[in-house]
Amino acid sequence: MKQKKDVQQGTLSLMVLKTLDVLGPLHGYGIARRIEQISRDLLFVNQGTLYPVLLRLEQEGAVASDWGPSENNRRARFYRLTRAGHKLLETEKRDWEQTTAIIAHFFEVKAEDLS
Amino acid sequence: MRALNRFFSRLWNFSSGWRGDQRLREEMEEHVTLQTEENIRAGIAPAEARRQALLKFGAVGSVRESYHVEEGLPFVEGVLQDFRYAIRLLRKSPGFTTAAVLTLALGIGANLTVFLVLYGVLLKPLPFPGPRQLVRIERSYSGGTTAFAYSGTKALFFQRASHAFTAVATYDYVPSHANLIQGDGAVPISVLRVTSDFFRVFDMEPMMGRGFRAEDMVLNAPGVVVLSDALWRHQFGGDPEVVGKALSLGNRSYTVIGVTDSRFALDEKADAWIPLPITESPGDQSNNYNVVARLKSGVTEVAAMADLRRVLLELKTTYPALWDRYEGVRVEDLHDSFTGDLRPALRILMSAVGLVFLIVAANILSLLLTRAVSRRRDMSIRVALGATSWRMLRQLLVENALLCILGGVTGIALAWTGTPVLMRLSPLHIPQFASLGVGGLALAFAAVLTLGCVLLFSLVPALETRRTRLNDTLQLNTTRIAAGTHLTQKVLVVSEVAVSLVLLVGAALLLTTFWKIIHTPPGFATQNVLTFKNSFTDQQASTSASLGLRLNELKSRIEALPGVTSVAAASTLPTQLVPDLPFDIVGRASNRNDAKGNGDYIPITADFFRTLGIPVMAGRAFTGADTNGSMPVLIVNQQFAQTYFRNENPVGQHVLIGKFMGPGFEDPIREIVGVVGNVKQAGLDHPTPAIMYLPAAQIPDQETRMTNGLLGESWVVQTESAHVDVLPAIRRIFMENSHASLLSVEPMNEVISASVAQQRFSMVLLCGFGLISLVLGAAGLYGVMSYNVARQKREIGVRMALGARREDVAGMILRDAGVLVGIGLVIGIAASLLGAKVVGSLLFGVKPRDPLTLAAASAVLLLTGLCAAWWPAWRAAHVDPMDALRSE
Repeated sequence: MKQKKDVQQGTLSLMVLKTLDVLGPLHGYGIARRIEQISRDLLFVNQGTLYPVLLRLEQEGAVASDWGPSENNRRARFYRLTRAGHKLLETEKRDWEQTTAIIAHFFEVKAEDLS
Repeated sequence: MRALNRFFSRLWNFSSGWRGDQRLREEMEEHVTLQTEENIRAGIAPAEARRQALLKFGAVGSVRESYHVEEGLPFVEGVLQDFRYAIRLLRKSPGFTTAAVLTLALGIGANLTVFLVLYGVLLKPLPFPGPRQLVRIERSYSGGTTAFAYSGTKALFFQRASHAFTAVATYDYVPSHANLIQGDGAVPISVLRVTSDFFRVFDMEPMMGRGFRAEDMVLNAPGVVVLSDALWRHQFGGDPEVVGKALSLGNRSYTVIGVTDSRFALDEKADAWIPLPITESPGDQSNNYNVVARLKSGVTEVAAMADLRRVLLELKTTYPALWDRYEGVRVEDLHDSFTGDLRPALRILMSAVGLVFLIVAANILSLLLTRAVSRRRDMSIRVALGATSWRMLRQLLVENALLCILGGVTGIALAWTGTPVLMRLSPLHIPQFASLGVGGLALAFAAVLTLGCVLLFSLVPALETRRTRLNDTLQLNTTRIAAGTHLTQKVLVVSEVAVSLVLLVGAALLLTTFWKIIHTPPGFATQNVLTFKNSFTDQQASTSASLGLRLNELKSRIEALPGVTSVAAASTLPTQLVPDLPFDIVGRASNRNDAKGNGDYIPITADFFRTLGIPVMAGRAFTGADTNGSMPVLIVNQQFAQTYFRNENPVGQHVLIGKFMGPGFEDPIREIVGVVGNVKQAGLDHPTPAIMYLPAAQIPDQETRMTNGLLGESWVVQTESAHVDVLPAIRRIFMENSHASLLSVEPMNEVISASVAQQRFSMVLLCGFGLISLVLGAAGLYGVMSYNVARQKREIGVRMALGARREDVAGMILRDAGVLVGIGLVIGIAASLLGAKVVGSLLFGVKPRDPLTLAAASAVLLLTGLCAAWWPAWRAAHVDPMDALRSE
């Protein structure tokens, strides 16, 4: 059986931001589902950890939330990206790409390249 | 930016009490429902589907907790929770809380009050521009003694010959009192005569109008006056047009030329300033003025002093008569000079109140330690449940912060209400420039004290708690684990006793001093003597002859009043300020040491000695026959006689007063006709100076005018008994005779009492501090001994079961207490002996290391200590052995 990973908080918020960016307003369950689908069920031991992250993003002003009707017409809290959230996503994305590029480069390097 | 946003959201949530709990619950519920439906769609049975959804969601409790942490400010909430807990604890033991808060309030309040006075008087700079450049020029003598009162001629000479100062000014050593006549009412105000550069020295020209000019200082120039801001506001209603208006001081008319800045204030209160018309005169050996100056920038006090020494040598050639080879000159910072005589008293008060604070702290610490022991189990359980040591310290810090803040705020309130009251009661001569009030600095001082207490009270018990291992505490009974704490408490009690002893010794020394002072024979009668002052107008006192006649007339009218046995007038009362004048003894070679000297100069009427009961030792007293036209006579006191006529009979000798003092002071050679007993003229605790008494009708006219202006005329009236009220009649007589009102009406014993008021004040305060320390020390000892008895109850029970008698048990407790007090006493005595020098300058008639005082203070402390230990000892003696053995 494949081992599931619990994501780091910073990574999780980046995923949340990207999900909202691509799919528009979503409720908590929707966000969790998307992240699971994209990560092919590899992430999340506990979906519940999403909610403190959402609150934190909201308090930072990156996302905003409102009540709205869910698919089956019950009340659900919908989260959407704010302008600050867009900007945040951009910078985070750039940082992430930079980091992964550097790490990737490290893995590519062979002993003879360094001599 | 984001972090800031987040913080503000948290702060907002925290302060508005917003809780997302309901929202989270709803969101979680929706989440699980959606997941369940998904699972059902995937073909799982509904019950299992929900179970799996819940599993996938994770631990709801932990999600809620991290959600909640994100939501608010967990640290602040924790502290608030600690506060609520602390409030509950304090309310649960109101006795402890009240005692601790009141003790702290007393300690902080007393310290704050004394600090306020100390700061206002000693630390705050003078309210003038460039306060560091202001100096006073003083006389100095070998042996380090100095005198402020300076010669006018020398001051004028300095002004023109010295290069060290931008301005030099001279003003009256003793302010005059004059009646400000307005309409038909007269207000007595104090007036200072000053030379033209006076306001320039302080660099504070009047706010309105102008200061003095050289032409105002000419002897018969039109009278001009500068009003103080306070006088202008209160007597002239703040009239903006007051400059140029005329007013009357006495019967002389003055034109208002200016109003001072409201900040302008010196050490003595003055309501108005008028010109001081002095000129250099080759024989002016009197010292009746203050001299102040402003140093040129870059000139130090030392450089100025060197320059003045050079000028003094110049003076020697210009005015040889003024040269005195024993007299040097000193330049002192003006602020230091204003506050010099207050310094020792204030410093001792501050040390004393600091010691009181130590006792307060020790006492509360002792209380807290006792409490910490009984709470140790509770604490240990918390630690066992995972509380970190920081968390435990935080709890203690919060509890003590609450306690200390309560104490601190009460203390500030105490100081705030207490300081003005203390100042009103205080006869300490608080200089006018000192403004006292609970300002920012005072609050900071109180805050520092409070914070210090919080840290001290938290760290000591925290360290104590850490010393014992967790396991021991959990397993053992609380009564057995107190040994470590007990040692700390013993140390505290010993220190309290030691500090108390130091304070008690100080208090006892001042008490003895005061006792000695008030039991010093003053040299004159103080019972049934009424005193008052009045000043005559310049016309009424224009010549000594006319003044003499007027005094005689008033005297005989008062004498005729029923109940009056004797009455006299003089320029000044015993124990009050008096000018001194130089004299030469006629017929002595001028190179002899005792050929000339300085003596207090007191013009009096007949019957002065009789009214005040001053004995005539040789010759005669003045009579009504010593008038302006009769032979010039003089009476000296015993001190004078012993200093200048050691082996001769002074009666019949001749003396010339104020030789070379210039026009206006030409005194004939006088014959000494009598010697009278010594009067403590300079104060009960000062040696008697040489005094010259002269008939008021015989002194130079210029001197009469000056003395009358300077000191007014003081009257003494001896009545048959204290209950005779002759005052209304006397007031009527003065009104009819010279249209004068009476000032400073008080019985002679109050005059005496006022002269020792400063000593009394220091004594009362220090005794108060001593008493407080005694009570607190006793309370501390009582607490520790009581605790000791409770702790040893089982041991006592065993002893009694084995046959110990009640007396043995009580003796054991008393012995324990005695050892603690004994050690404290030994340390205290050592500290008192070491610190004796500090209090030395305030003492009179008692040595700082007086063994009797030390013994008495130790005895009082020992006795109090044993009294405090007696009740715990009694309780120990009445322990029921059966009860004690079973109780565990």
